[in-house]
Amino acid sequence: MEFSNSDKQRVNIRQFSLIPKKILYRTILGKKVERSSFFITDNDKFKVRIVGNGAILCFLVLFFLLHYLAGLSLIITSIISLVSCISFFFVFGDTIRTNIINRHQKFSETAFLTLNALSINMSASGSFPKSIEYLFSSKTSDEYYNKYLQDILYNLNLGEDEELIIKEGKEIFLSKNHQNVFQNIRNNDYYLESDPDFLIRVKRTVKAIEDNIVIFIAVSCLFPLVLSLVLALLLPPNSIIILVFPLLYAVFGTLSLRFVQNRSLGEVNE
Amino acid sequence: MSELMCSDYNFLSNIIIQLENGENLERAFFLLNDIPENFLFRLQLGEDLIDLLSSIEFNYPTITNLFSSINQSDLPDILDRLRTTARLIRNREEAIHEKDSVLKVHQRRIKIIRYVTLLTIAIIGGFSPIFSNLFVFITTGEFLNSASILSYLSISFLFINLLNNYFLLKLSKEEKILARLFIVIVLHIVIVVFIRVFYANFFAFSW
Repeated sequence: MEFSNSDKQRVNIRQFSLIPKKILYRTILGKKVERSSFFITDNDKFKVRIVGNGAILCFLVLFFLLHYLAGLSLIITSIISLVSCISFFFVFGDTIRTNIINRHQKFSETAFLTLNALSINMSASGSFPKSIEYLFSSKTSDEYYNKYLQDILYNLNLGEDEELIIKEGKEIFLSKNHQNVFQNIRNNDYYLESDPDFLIRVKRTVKAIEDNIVIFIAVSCLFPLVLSLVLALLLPPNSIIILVFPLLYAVFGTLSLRFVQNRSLGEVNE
Repeated sequence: MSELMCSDYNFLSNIIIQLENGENLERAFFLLNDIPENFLFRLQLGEDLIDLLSSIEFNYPTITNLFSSINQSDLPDILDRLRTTARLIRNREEAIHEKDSVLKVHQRRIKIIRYVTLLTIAIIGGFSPIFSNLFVFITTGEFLNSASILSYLSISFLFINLLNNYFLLKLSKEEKILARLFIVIVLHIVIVVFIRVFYANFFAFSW
Protein backbone atom coordinates (compact mmCIF):
# COMPACT_ATOMS: atom_id res chain seq x y z
CA MET A 1 0.00 0.00 0.00
CA GLU A 2 1.37 3.40 -0.90
CA PHE A 3 0.95 6.49 1.21
CA SER A 4 0.55 9.83 -0.46
CA ASN A 5 2.83 12.63 0.69
CA SER A 6 0.24 14.38 2.87
CA ASP A 7 -0.68 11.06 4.50
CA LYS A 8 2.95 10.47 5.37
CA GLN A 9 3.19 13.91 6.88
CA ARG A 10 0.09 13.34 8.94
CA VAL A 11 1.47 10.03 10.24
CA ASN A 12 4.74 11.75 11.13
CA ILE A 13 2.93 14.48 13.02
CA ARG A 14 0.90 11.93 14.92
CA GLN A 15 4.08 10.06 15.84
CA PHE A 16 5.92 13.16 16.99
CA SER A 17 6.96 13.17 20.63
CA LEU A 18 9.27 15.53 22.50
CA ILE A 19 10.01 13.02 25.26
CA PRO A 20 11.63 9.74 24.14
CA LYS A 21 8.74 7.38 23.53
CA LYS A 22 10.12 4.51 25.57
CA ILE A 23 10.45 6.63 28.71
CA LEU A 24 7.07 8.26 28.07
CA TYR A 25 5.13 5.01 27.78
CA ARG A 26 7.00 3.55 30.73
CA THR A 27 6.17 6.43 33.09
CA ILE A 28 2.55 6.97 32.08
CA LEU A 29 1.47 3.40 31.54
CA GLY A 30 3.58 1.93 34.31
CA LYS A 31 4.70 -1.60 34.98
CA LYS A 32 1.31 -3.20 35.40
CA VAL A 33 0.27 -2.33 31.88
CA GLU A 34 2.97 -4.51 30.34
CA ARG A 35 0.61 -7.44 30.68
CA SER A 36 -2.20 -5.47 29.09
CA SER A 37 -0.18 -4.44 26.03
CA PHE A 38 -2.74 -6.19 23.82
CA PHE A 39 -5.34 -3.64 24.87
CA ILE A 40 -3.29 -0.54 24.06
CA THR A 41 -4.62 0.85 20.80
CA ASP A 42 -2.80 3.27 18.51
CA ASN A 43 -5.22 5.91 19.67
CA ASP A 44 -4.12 5.41 23.28
CA LYS A 45 -0.48 5.81 22.29
CA PHE A 46 -1.41 8.96 20.39
CA LYS A 47 -3.13 10.34 23.49
CA VAL A 48 -0.09 9.48 25.61
CA ARG A 49 2.13 11.39 23.20
CA ILE A 50 -0.26 14.34 23.34
CA VAL A 51 -0.06 14.33 27.13
CA GLY A 52 3.75 14.16 27.00
CA ASN A 53 4.06 16.97 24.47
CA GLY A 54 1.33 18.95 26.24
CA ALA A 55 3.17 18.75 29.56
CA ILE A 56 6.33 20.22 28.02
CA LEU A 57 4.31 22.85 26.18
CA CYS A 58 2.54 23.72 29.43
CA PHE A 59 5.94 24.13 31.13
CA LEU A 60 7.25 26.41 28.41
CA VAL A 61 4.12 28.56 28.17
CA LEU A 62 3.89 29.03 31.92
CA PHE A 63 7.60 29.78 32.13
CA PHE A 64 7.29 32.40 29.42
CA LEU A 65 4.14 33.93 30.92
CA LEU A 66 5.40 34.11 34.48
CA HIS A 67 9.03 35.01 33.89
CA TYR A 68 8.82 37.42 30.98
CA LEU A 69 5.31 38.83 31.27
CA ALA A 70 4.62 38.72 35.02
CA GLY A 71 8.28 39.30 35.87
CA LEU A 72 8.65 36.71 38.60
CA SER A 73 12.06 35.51 39.69
CA LEU A 74 13.66 32.52 37.97
CA ILE A 75 13.36 30.10 40.91
CA ILE A 76 9.70 30.77 41.61
CA THR A 77 8.84 30.56 37.92
CA SER A 78 10.56 27.24 37.51
CA ILE A 79 8.94 25.80 40.64
CA ILE A 80 5.46 26.82 39.53
CA SER A 81 5.82 25.66 35.96
CA LEU A 82 7.47 22.40 36.97
CA VAL A 83 4.71 21.56 39.43
CA SER A 84 1.95 22.36 36.97
CA CYS A 85 3.71 20.44 34.21
CA ILE A 86 4.08 17.36 36.42
CA SER A 87 0.48 17.51 37.63
CA PHE A 88 -0.76 17.85 34.05
CA PHE A 89 1.34 14.86 33.05
CA PHE A 90 0.20 12.64 35.89
CA VAL A 91 -3.46 13.49 36.03
CA PHE A 92 -4.17 13.12 32.32
CA GLY A 93 -1.78 10.20 31.92
CA ASP A 94 -3.57 8.36 34.65
CA THR A 95 -6.98 8.55 32.96
CA ILE A 96 -5.52 6.85 29.87
CA ARG A 97 -3.93 4.19 32.02
CA THR A 98 -7.17 3.53 33.90
CA ASN A 99 -9.03 3.09 30.60
CA ILE A 100 -6.58 0.44 29.42
CA ILE A 101 -6.70 -1.46 32.69
CA ASN A 102 -10.50 -1.39 32.71
CA ARG A 103 -10.57 -2.81 29.21
CA HIS A 104 -8.39 -5.72 30.28
CA GLN A 105 -10.51 -6.35 33.37
CA LYS A 106 -13.66 -6.44 31.30
CA PHE A 107 -12.05 -8.91 28.94
CA SER A 108 -11.01 -11.10 31.80
CA GLU A 109 -14.43 -10.96 33.40
CA THR A 110 -16.17 -12.68 30.51
CA ALA A 111 -13.32 -15.13 29.98
CA PHE A 112 -15.12 -17.93 31.79
CA LEU A 113 -17.93 -18.03 29.21
CA THR A 114 -15.58 -18.00 26.26
CA LEU A 115 -13.34 -20.66 27.79
CA ASN A 116 -16.25 -22.98 28.49
CA ALA A 117 -17.71 -22.35 25.05
CA LEU A 118 -14.30 -23.22 23.58
CA SER A 119 -14.22 -26.38 25.62
CA ILE A 120 -17.71 -27.38 24.42
CA ASN A 121 -16.65 -26.71 20.85
CA MET A 122 -13.50 -28.76 21.42
CA SER A 123 -15.50 -31.75 22.51
CA ALA A 124 -17.80 -31.31 19.52
CA SER A 125 -15.15 -30.89 16.87
CA GLY A 126 -11.96 -32.27 18.38
CA SER A 127 -9.76 -29.68 16.74
CA PHE A 128 -8.60 -26.38 18.17
CA PRO A 129 -8.87 -24.22 15.00
CA LYS A 130 -12.32 -25.62 14.27
CA SER A 131 -13.57 -24.79 17.75
CA ILE A 132 -12.41 -21.19 17.37
CA GLU A 133 -14.26 -21.00 14.06
CA TYR A 134 -17.39 -22.14 15.84
CA LEU A 135 -17.01 -19.24 18.23
CA PHE A 136 -16.91 -16.85 15.30
CA SER A 137 -20.12 -18.32 13.93
CA SER A 138 -22.07 -16.94 16.90
CA LYS A 139 -20.94 -13.36 16.11
CA THR A 140 -21.41 -11.92 19.57
CA SER A 141 -17.92 -11.80 21.01
CA ASP A 142 -16.72 -8.27 21.69
CA GLU A 143 -14.07 -6.56 19.59
CA TYR A 144 -11.11 -7.55 21.75
CA TYR A 145 -12.12 -11.21 21.80
CA ASN A 146 -12.61 -11.05 18.07
CA LYS A 147 -9.16 -9.59 17.57
CA TYR A 148 -7.56 -12.01 19.99
CA LEU A 149 -9.15 -15.11 18.47
CA GLN A 150 -8.50 -13.89 14.95
CA ASP A 151 -4.82 -13.47 15.79
CA ILE A 152 -4.69 -17.03 17.08
CA LEU A 153 -6.52 -18.37 14.05
CA TYR A 154 -4.24 -16.43 11.72
CA ASN A 155 -1.13 -17.86 13.37
CA LEU A 156 -2.60 -21.36 13.22
CA ASN A 157 -3.29 -20.97 9.52
CA LEU A 158 0.28 -19.85 8.99
CA GLY A 159 1.28 -23.25 10.31
CA GLU A 160 2.83 -22.28 13.61
CA ASP A 161 3.05 -24.79 16.40
CA GLU A 162 -0.30 -25.16 18.18
CA GLU A 163 1.37 -25.85 21.52
CA LEU A 164 3.39 -22.63 21.28
CA ILE A 165 0.38 -20.53 20.30
CA ILE A 166 -1.63 -21.79 23.24
CA LYS A 167 1.29 -21.18 25.58
CA GLU A 168 1.65 -17.59 24.43
CA GLY A 169 -2.08 -17.02 24.13
CA LYS A 170 -2.82 -17.90 27.72
CA GLU A 171 -0.78 -14.96 29.00
CA ILE A 172 -3.65 -12.61 28.27
CA PHE A 173 -5.85 -14.03 31.03
CA LEU A 174 -5.40 -12.33 34.36
CA SER A 175 -6.37 -15.25 36.52
CA LYS A 176 -4.13 -18.32 36.95
CA ASN A 177 -7.23 -20.48 36.82
CA HIS A 178 -8.20 -19.23 33.37
CA GLN A 179 -4.63 -19.63 32.14
CA ASN A 180 -4.62 -23.21 33.31
CA VAL A 181 -7.85 -24.06 31.53
CA PHE A 182 -6.70 -22.41 28.33
CA GLN A 183 -3.43 -24.32 28.40
CA ASN A 184 -5.27 -27.62 28.71
CA ILE A 185 -8.09 -26.72 26.33
CA ARG A 186 -7.18 -29.49 23.91
CA ASN A 187 -7.62 -32.02 26.63
CA ASN A 188 -11.27 -33.03 26.34
CA ASP A 189 -12.05 -33.23 30.05
CA TYR A 190 -10.89 -29.74 30.85
CA TYR A 191 -13.23 -26.82 31.47
CA LEU A 192 -13.68 -24.07 34.02
CA GLU A 193 -15.42 -25.56 37.02
CA SER A 194 -15.03 -22.78 39.53
CA ASP A 195 -13.92 -19.18 39.39
CA PRO A 196 -12.80 -18.13 42.86
CA ASP A 197 -10.59 -15.31 41.58
CA PHE A 198 -13.58 -13.28 40.50
CA LEU A 199 -15.22 -13.53 43.90
CA ILE A 200 -11.96 -12.64 45.61
CA ARG A 201 -11.48 -9.65 43.37
CA VAL A 202 -14.98 -8.37 44.02
CA LYS A 203 -14.36 -8.57 47.75
CA ARG A 204 -10.98 -6.86 47.35
CA THR A 205 -12.42 -3.84 45.55
CA VAL A 206 -14.88 -3.29 48.37
CA LYS A 207 -12.14 -3.82 50.95
CA ALA A 208 -9.85 -1.40 49.14
CA ILE A 209 -12.47 1.33 49.43
CA GLU A 210 -13.02 0.55 53.11
CA ASP A 211 -9.30 0.70 53.87
CA ASN A 212 -8.61 3.81 51.92
CA ILE A 213 -11.38 6.08 53.08
CA VAL A 214 -9.21 7.17 56.00
CA ILE A 215 -6.14 7.78 53.86
CA PHE A 216 -8.27 9.78 51.49
CA ILE A 217 -9.78 12.00 54.11
CA ALA A 218 -6.30 12.78 55.40
CA VAL A 219 -4.85 13.41 51.97
CA SER A 220 -7.91 14.98 50.49
CA CYS A 221 -9.05 17.40 53.11
CA LEU A 222 -6.53 18.12 55.81
CA PHE A 223 -3.36 18.27 53.77
CA PRO A 224 -4.39 20.92 51.22
CA LEU A 225 -6.36 22.93 53.74
CA VAL A 226 -3.55 23.23 56.26
CA LEU A 227 -1.03 23.96 53.55
CA SER A 228 -3.09 26.73 52.01
CA LEU A 229 -3.91 28.27 55.38
CA VAL A 230 -0.31 28.34 56.56
CA LEU A 231 0.93 29.59 53.25
CA ALA A 232 -1.69 32.28 53.08
CA LEU A 233 -0.16 33.65 56.27
CA LEU A 234 3.39 33.36 54.97
CA LEU A 235 2.92 34.58 51.41
CA PRO A 236 1.50 37.87 50.22
CA PRO A 237 -2.09 37.48 48.95
CA ASN A 238 -1.12 38.47 45.44
CA SER A 239 1.62 35.83 45.20
CA ILE A 240 0.91 33.36 42.44
CA ILE A 241 2.63 30.53 44.36
CA ILE A 242 -0.64 29.99 46.23
CA LEU A 243 -2.05 28.49 43.03
CA VAL A 244 0.61 25.78 43.08
CA PHE A 245 -0.94 23.96 46.03
CA PRO A 246 -4.09 22.71 44.33
CA LEU A 247 -1.78 21.35 41.64
CA LEU A 248 0.37 19.57 44.20
CA TYR A 249 -2.81 18.21 45.65
CA ALA A 250 -3.86 16.91 42.23
CA VAL A 251 -0.59 14.96 41.99
CA PHE A 252 -0.98 13.51 45.48
CA GLY A 253 -4.59 12.52 44.93
CA THR A 254 -3.89 10.86 41.59
CA LEU A 255 -0.93 8.99 43.02
CA SER A 256 -2.97 7.67 45.92
CA LEU A 257 -5.81 6.61 43.59
CA ARG A 258 -3.21 4.83 41.47
CA PHE A 259 -1.83 3.17 44.57
CA VAL A 260 -5.28 1.91 45.52
CA GLN A 261 -5.84 0.57 42.01
CA ASN A 262 -2.45 -1.15 41.89
CA ARG A 263 -3.13 -2.83 45.16
CA SER A 264 -6.49 -4.26 44.20
CA LEU A 265 -5.00 -5.41 40.87
CA GLY A 266 -1.73 -6.72 42.19
CA GLU A 267 -3.04 -9.15 44.72
CA VAL A 268 -5.04 -11.05 42.15
CA ASN A 269 -2.16 -11.27 39.70
CA GLU A 270 0.35 -12.65 42.11
CA MET B 1 -32.80 -6.10 20.14
CA SER B 2 -35.42 -7.87 22.23
CA GLU B 3 -35.06 -8.50 25.90
CA LEU B 4 -35.16 -11.76 27.77
CA MET B 5 -37.79 -12.00 30.49
CA CYS B 6 -35.61 -13.82 33.02
CA SER B 7 -32.04 -13.78 34.25
CA ASP B 8 -29.29 -15.38 32.20
CA TYR B 9 -28.90 -18.11 34.79
CA ASN B 10 -32.56 -19.11 34.63
CA PHE B 11 -32.52 -19.07 30.88
CA LEU B 12 -29.49 -21.32 30.71
CA SER B 13 -30.68 -23.77 33.35
CA ASN B 14 -34.12 -24.06 31.75
CA ILE B 15 -32.52 -24.92 28.46
CA ILE B 16 -30.33 -27.50 30.17
CA ILE B 17 -33.44 -29.14 31.67
CA GLN B 18 -35.10 -29.31 28.26
CA LEU B 19 -31.96 -30.76 26.70
CA GLU B 20 -31.76 -33.32 29.46
CA ASN B 21 -35.34 -34.36 28.68
CA GLY B 22 -34.18 -35.24 25.21
CA GLU B 23 -35.38 -32.22 23.26
CA ASN B 24 -33.16 -30.65 20.66
CA LEU B 25 -32.03 -27.05 20.95
CA GLU B 26 -34.70 -25.53 18.69
CA ARG B 27 -37.54 -27.30 20.45
CA ALA B 28 -36.09 -26.36 23.82
CA PHE B 29 -36.56 -22.71 22.86
CA PHE B 30 -40.20 -23.26 21.98
CA LEU B 31 -40.83 -24.90 25.32
CA LEU B 32 -39.43 -21.97 27.33
CA ASN B 33 -41.84 -19.33 28.51
CA ASP B 34 -39.42 -16.45 28.79
CA ILE B 35 -38.52 -16.07 25.15
CA PRO B 36 -39.87 -13.01 23.30
CA GLU B 37 -42.58 -13.97 20.82
CA ASN B 38 -41.13 -12.38 17.75
CA PHE B 39 -38.01 -14.48 18.34
CA LEU B 40 -40.05 -17.69 18.22
CA PHE B 41 -41.90 -16.44 15.19
CA ARG B 42 -38.68 -15.84 13.32
CA LEU B 43 -37.41 -19.24 14.40
CA GLN B 44 -40.56 -20.80 12.98
CA LEU B 45 -39.95 -19.08 9.70
CA GLY B 46 -36.69 -20.96 9.52
CA GLU B 47 -34.02 -18.42 10.43
CA ASP B 48 -30.76 -19.74 11.80
CA LEU B 49 -30.89 -20.16 15.58
CA ILE B 50 -27.37 -18.92 16.28
CA ASP B 51 -27.97 -15.82 14.13
CA LEU B 52 -31.22 -15.16 15.97
CA LEU B 53 -29.67 -15.51 19.39
CA SER B 54 -27.45 -12.51 18.79
CA SER B 55 -30.61 -10.40 18.52
CA ILE B 56 -31.53 -11.09 22.17
CA GLU B 57 -30.11 -8.81 24.80
CA PHE B 58 -28.26 -10.88 27.39
CA ASN B 59 -26.49 -9.71 30.50
CA TYR B 60 -23.53 -11.74 29.28
CA PRO B 61 -23.63 -11.41 25.49
CA THR B 62 -21.00 -14.13 25.04
CA ILE B 63 -23.49 -16.65 26.41
CA THR B 64 -24.53 -17.40 22.84
CA ASN B 65 -21.06 -18.77 22.18
CA LEU B 66 -22.04 -21.75 24.32
CA PHE B 67 -24.59 -22.86 21.73
CA SER B 68 -22.39 -22.45 18.68
CA SER B 69 -21.58 -26.14 18.32
CA ILE B 70 -24.27 -27.80 20.37
CA ASN B 71 -25.97 -29.46 17.40
CA GLN B 72 -22.72 -31.11 16.33
CA SER B 73 -21.83 -32.66 19.65
CA ASP B 74 -22.63 -35.49 22.01
CA LEU B 75 -25.09 -34.16 24.55
CA PRO B 76 -24.06 -35.97 27.76
CA ASP B 77 -20.52 -34.61 27.42
CA ILE B 78 -21.76 -31.09 27.16
CA LEU B 79 -24.53 -30.99 29.73
CA ASP B 80 -22.04 -31.00 32.56
CA ARG B 81 -20.17 -28.05 31.12
CA LEU B 82 -23.36 -26.13 30.52
CA ARG B 83 -24.52 -26.79 34.04
CA THR B 84 -21.21 -25.64 35.51
CA THR B 85 -21.29 -22.51 33.41
CA ALA B 86 -24.81 -21.76 34.59
CA ARG B 87 -23.64 -22.16 38.17
CA LEU B 88 -20.70 -19.86 37.55
CA ILE B 89 -23.06 -17.23 36.18
CA ARG B 90 -25.27 -17.51 39.25
CA ASN B 91 -22.29 -17.21 41.61
CA ARG B 92 -21.15 -14.16 39.74
CA GLU B 93 -24.55 -12.52 39.86
CA GLU B 94 -24.75 -13.15 43.57
CA ALA B 95 -21.28 -11.73 44.17
CA ILE B 96 -22.01 -8.65 42.09
CA HIS B 97 -25.29 -8.15 43.89
CA GLU B 98 -23.56 -8.36 47.26
CA LYS B 99 -20.83 -5.99 46.11
CA ASP B 100 -23.40 -3.48 44.91
CA SER B 101 -25.19 -3.44 48.23
CA VAL B 102 -21.94 -3.00 50.18
CA LEU B 103 -20.78 -0.39 47.72
CA LYS B 104 -24.01 1.51 48.20
CA VAL B 105 -23.36 1.76 51.94
CA HIS B 106 -19.88 3.07 51.23
CA GLN B 107 -21.17 5.44 48.63
CA ARG B 108 -23.55 6.90 51.15
CA ARG B 109 -20.73 7.23 53.66
CA ILE B 110 -18.43 8.87 51.13
CA LYS B 111 -21.27 11.13 50.06
CA ILE B 112 -21.58 12.45 53.62
CA ILE B 113 -17.82 12.95 53.83
CA ARG B 114 -17.92 14.67 50.47
CA TYR B 115 -20.59 17.15 51.46
CA VAL B 116 -19.04 17.88 54.86
CA THR B 117 -15.63 18.56 53.33
CA LEU B 118 -17.27 20.57 50.56
CA LEU B 119 -18.95 22.79 53.12
CA THR B 120 -15.81 23.14 55.23
CA ILE B 121 -13.58 24.03 52.32
CA ALA B 122 -16.15 26.46 50.92
CA ILE B 123 -16.56 28.17 54.28
CA ILE B 124 -12.81 28.49 54.76
CA GLY B 125 -12.65 29.72 51.17
CA GLY B 126 -15.28 32.29 52.05
CA PHE B 127 -13.27 33.54 54.99
CA SER B 128 -10.01 33.56 53.06
CA PRO B 129 -9.72 37.40 52.96
CA ILE B 130 -9.04 37.20 56.71
CA PHE B 131 -5.84 35.31 56.01
CA SER B 132 -4.73 37.81 53.40
CA ASN B 133 -5.57 40.64 55.78
CA LEU B 134 -3.64 38.93 58.55
CA PHE B 135 -0.60 38.77 56.30
CA VAL B 136 -0.87 42.48 55.64
CA PHE B 137 -1.35 43.03 59.36
CA ILE B 138 1.81 41.05 60.20
CA THR B 139 3.95 42.88 57.63
CA THR B 140 2.63 46.44 57.98
CA GLY B 141 0.98 46.45 61.40
CA GLU B 142 -2.23 47.76 59.91
CA PHE B 143 -5.44 45.69 59.81
CA LEU B 144 -7.56 46.11 56.69
CA ASN B 145 -11.06 44.86 56.09
CA SER B 146 -11.01 44.31 52.37
CA ALA B 147 -13.35 41.52 51.34
CA SER B 148 -12.54 40.98 47.70
CA ILE B 149 -14.40 38.14 46.05
CA LEU B 150 -11.67 37.24 43.59
CA SER B 151 -8.22 36.46 44.87
CA TYR B 152 -5.64 33.77 44.23
CA LEU B 153 -6.52 32.19 47.53
CA SER B 154 -10.22 31.81 46.71
CA ILE B 155 -9.42 30.38 43.27
CA SER B 156 -7.08 27.91 44.93
CA PHE B 157 -9.81 26.87 47.36
CA LEU B 158 -12.23 26.32 44.51
CA PHE B 159 -9.68 24.06 42.82
CA ILE B 160 -9.06 22.14 46.02
CA ASN B 161 -12.77 21.63 46.52
CA LEU B 162 -13.23 20.40 42.96
CA LEU B 163 -10.29 18.00 43.16
CA ASN B 164 -11.36 16.71 46.55
CA ASN B 165 -14.82 15.92 45.21
CA TYR B 166 -13.40 14.40 42.05
CA PHE B 167 -11.15 12.00 43.97
CA LEU B 168 -13.90 10.98 46.36
CA LEU B 169 -16.30 10.39 43.45
CA LYS B 170 -13.66 8.33 41.68
CA LEU B 171 -13.00 6.32 44.82
CA SER B 172 -16.65 5.45 45.31
CA LYS B 173 -16.95 4.58 41.59
CA GLU B 174 -19.87 6.92 40.95
CA GLU B 175 -21.25 7.80 37.55
CA LYS B 176 -21.98 11.19 36.01
CA ILE B 177 -18.90 12.71 37.62
CA LEU B 178 -18.98 15.86 35.50
CA ALA B 179 -22.57 16.72 36.42
CA ARG B 180 -21.81 16.27 40.10
CA LEU B 181 -18.72 18.44 39.81
CA PHE B 182 -20.85 21.16 38.26
CA ILE B 183 -23.12 21.05 41.31
CA VAL B 184 -20.01 21.37 43.49
CA ILE B 185 -18.91 24.51 41.63
CA VAL B 186 -22.34 26.11 42.02
CA LEU B 187 -22.60 25.23 45.72
CA HIS B 188 -19.08 26.45 46.40
CA ILE B 189 -19.66 29.80 44.72
CA VAL B 190 -23.02 30.29 46.46
CA ILE B 191 -21.51 29.58 49.87
CA VAL B 192 -18.49 31.81 49.23
CA VAL B 193 -20.61 34.75 48.09
CA PHE B 194 -22.98 34.28 51.01
CA ILE B 195 -20.10 34.30 53.51
CA ARG B 196 -18.40 37.28 51.88
CA VAL B 197 -21.61 39.27 52.15
CA PHE B 198 -22.01 38.24 55.76
CA TYR B 199 -18.35 39.02 56.49
CA ALA B 200 -18.44 42.47 54.89
CA ASN B 201 -21.61 43.42 56.76
CA PHE B 202 -20.35 41.92 60.02
CA PHE B 203 -17.49 44.40 60.16
CA ALA B 204 -19.73 47.24 59.02
CA PHE B 205 -22.07 46.55 61.94
CA SER B 206 -19.49 46.06 64.66
CA TRP B 207 -17.44 49.15 63.89
